[in-house]
Amino acid sequence: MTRLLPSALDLFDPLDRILVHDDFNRGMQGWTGLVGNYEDSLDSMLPEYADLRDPMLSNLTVWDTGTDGSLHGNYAMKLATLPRPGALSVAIKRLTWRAATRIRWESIVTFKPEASELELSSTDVRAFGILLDLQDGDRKTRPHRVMPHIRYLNADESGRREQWQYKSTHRTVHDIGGRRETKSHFHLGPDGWTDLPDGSQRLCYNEIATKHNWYYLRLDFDLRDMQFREFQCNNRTYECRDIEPIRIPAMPNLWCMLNLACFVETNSFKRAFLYVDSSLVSTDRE
Amino acid sequence: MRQSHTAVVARNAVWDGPFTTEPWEAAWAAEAIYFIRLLNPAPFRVSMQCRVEISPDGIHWVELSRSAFDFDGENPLWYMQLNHFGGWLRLSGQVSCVPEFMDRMGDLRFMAYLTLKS
Repeated sequence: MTRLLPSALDLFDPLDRILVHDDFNRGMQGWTGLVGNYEDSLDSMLPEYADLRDPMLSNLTVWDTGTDGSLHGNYAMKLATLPRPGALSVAIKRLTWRAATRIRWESIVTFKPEASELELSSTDVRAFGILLDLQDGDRKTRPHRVMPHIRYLNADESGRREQWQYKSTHRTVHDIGGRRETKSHFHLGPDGWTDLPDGSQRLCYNEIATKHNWYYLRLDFDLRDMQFREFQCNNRTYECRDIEPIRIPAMPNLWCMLNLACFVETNSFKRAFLYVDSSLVSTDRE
Repeated sequence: MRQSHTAVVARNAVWDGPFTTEPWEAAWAAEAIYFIRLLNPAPFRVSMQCRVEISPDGIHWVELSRSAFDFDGENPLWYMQLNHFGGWLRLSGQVSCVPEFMDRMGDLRFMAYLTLKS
């Protein structure tokens, strides 16, 4: 049966219940920066979290042609790194789930390096990606915190890679501060990424650093068994049932957590930018 | 209802001399306030000279206005109100103190906020 959707949603293919539709022409809508956990002082957070940069609203203005605007208006959410190889910017939106069903996250995104040189610059962005940060409900036997990560490794120190990757392993979970109430682990480091099977994909960089072409992303994940289902970027769909997300024992105050996050990492001494035009999260009806 | 947003443009920053905040896009906003807060007020005076800079592209910068402020135990928070700034803002400047306390500047931590309203 064909569903009638508002025209702004027509480029999405949501499941039955739409949880949130974020069009950044309406503001940040709950998307914010990611701060590391701390106790008593910000100095207590893990050092990898100290320089994560927060998201902003952008009208995609570039020096040579002025304002691009977003896909549906003027504004997109922009993540901008520091100009230092390996620097990251992360945006996160925090919800909780009310029924363990399939969840589908669709978004329209694009990425570019800062156009500070008149060069192709197509390997200046290292990676961009999305992740969910989930936890089982409080009645689940042997509950887990589960963190499915997918990234597009555009390039690394060795050059162009153009490879989708996922992450199954995690670093040590540290106690933060001295009261044993706060824990933290850094999950966006360069370690632990594995190539997605058949996950090589060439995207539309489009020749110079000031041209923005938007991409469609879709991640399907199932909260019932906390497993990947599918991932799609434009014309390519990846079967993900056999890949494992990060899975760690449940934490004491994260029950039914449903966090969405996206990130970008630079590969050079230039800022890397990830723009999100819009995002839609849907689930099955329970 | 008007749009508003507070951005943290420096978090727990160690400023011991010159500093520059990252570029921030503000094309949607009509007014702004930069705040700087000294997180752990020092038992000595910390002097700041700073410039608000604007840009057509986030790459090339020009001064919009300037300010000076002395932080101490009684005055841990500075602000500057702005309007008509176009699409981009950043803050750059310098912090210093008298020579006898210079070796303690690295203990100071700064928060910088950009509060925007349409």
